[in-house]
Amino acid sequence: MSQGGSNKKVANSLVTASFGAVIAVYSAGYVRTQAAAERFASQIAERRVPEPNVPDTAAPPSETPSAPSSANSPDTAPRATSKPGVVASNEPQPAATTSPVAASATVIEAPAPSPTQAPVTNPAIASPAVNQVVDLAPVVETKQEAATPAPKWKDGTYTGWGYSRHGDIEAEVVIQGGRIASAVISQCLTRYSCSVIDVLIPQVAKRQSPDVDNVSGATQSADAFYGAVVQALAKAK
Amino acid sequence: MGTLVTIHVVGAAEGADAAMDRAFGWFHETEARCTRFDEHSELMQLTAQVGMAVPVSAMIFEAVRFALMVAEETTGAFDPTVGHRMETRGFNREHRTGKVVGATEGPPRAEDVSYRDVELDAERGTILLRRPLRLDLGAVAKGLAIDMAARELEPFHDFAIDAGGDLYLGGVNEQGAPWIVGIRHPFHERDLIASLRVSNQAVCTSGNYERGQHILDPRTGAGTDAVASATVVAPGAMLADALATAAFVLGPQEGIRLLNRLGVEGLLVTPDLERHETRGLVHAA
Repeated sequence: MSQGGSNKKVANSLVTASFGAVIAVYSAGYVRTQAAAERFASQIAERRVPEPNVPDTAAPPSETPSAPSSANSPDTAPRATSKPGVVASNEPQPAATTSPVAASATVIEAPAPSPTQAPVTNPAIASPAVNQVVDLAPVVETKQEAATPAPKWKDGTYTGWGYSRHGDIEAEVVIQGGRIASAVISQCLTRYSCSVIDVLIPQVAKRQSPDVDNVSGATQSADAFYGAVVQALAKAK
Repeated sequence: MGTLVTIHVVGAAEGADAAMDRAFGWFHETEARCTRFDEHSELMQLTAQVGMAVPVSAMIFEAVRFALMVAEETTGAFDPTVGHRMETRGFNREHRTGKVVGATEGPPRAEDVSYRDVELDAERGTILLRRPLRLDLGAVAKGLAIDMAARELEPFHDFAIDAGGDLYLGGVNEQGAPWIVGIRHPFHERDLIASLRVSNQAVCTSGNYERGQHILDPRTGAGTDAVASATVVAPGAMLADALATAAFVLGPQEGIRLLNRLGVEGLLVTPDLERHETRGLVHAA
């Protein structure tokens, strides 16, 4: 808009170069990418480990075997257990651990006011929103602001898979009455016990920034994962 | 990259799920090829071979080519060969294992290596490293992945991609208005320092706030502290990310000059929260 005309050529050349790069990489073929995605899915399957021995406390979200979002996505890796392994309530948790976890979520559905598992492919309902996490810094923040009323989300069960160098987790978030009723880790395939991350889960219910669509410069920490989950949920409203 | 990636397609579009899967595929592909934390990655294999023209994938070639263009354009304020210096400063530990990556093996690297030691042959699709060096494609690789993902999602028009706070916003949000992008406050994680209106643009922010100081001035090897965070709004994420890094290094005045010259928008925040921005930056209400 306000750029000086004399150097426009330079700008254009960099912009053009960046688009040229995208086209070049794209036309080099998606085949490899698909292979990578498949490899990834199989790695997840292989890394399956026993459930962590953390007590279940909250009501498991209405047995939603997390409807897969599509046929060849990583989150369609077979789910051996859909029973929550780690559950956290909204109560404040003891502070601070290092979380070796990285997670991501795949928000699969945002259906009507009951967690009755709508098929993902129901096109009439919500915008698809998907998160994936490739890594998390081993940082856990525990400071939390006073709980403020959550924005209104559509009731339902949201399922997500997180991927990282540290392992993978599946998370389920249940919205009831427009608020997060529970957030559970339904599968934990990390190298570490998931108990070290359950302190994070209350954050899902507590932090949100409903005034903006996205935030640039966000964190890469475990904290960020949950912030992003909230973000994804907000988008699904 | 080590990044949380969120993709959001507005509306209920047929085929969006599959497109999102493909979009994520690019992130995995990019990470696998460009990571410095796996000695078997294509990037690490490339840097293990000095003095010979190494055939590389289109992805590596294009990422390096673009990085070199930005390096040239910023006379080295952005330099993908800054990698070796990062290693000497402790950025060479793989998160999971704590294993030190590539710091000690091989011949010692000269302190004065730069992007000029990287030679491209576009016809053969090869890269030649004249001297031992480390290539850090962090800034461009993540941006490239975002741009690739954006391409996959183009048919849906309205969508948002968030890769660890680097964004691409296509079309409009669910209210049918340009996307509102909050810019993280450099010191208070939960606060925003600005909100922008963005459509069909990428927004990338560089800052030293996340993992301690990790942006070095490639020209000196020293940390930079004139800017606390640098945000760039540009037509593509690879461009925005690289320029955010460059502007961060250049400091507020020179950084804004660079952005103006290149015809992109940006906001630089100094450690005492002084703001410097391009004239065309569009703030949200």
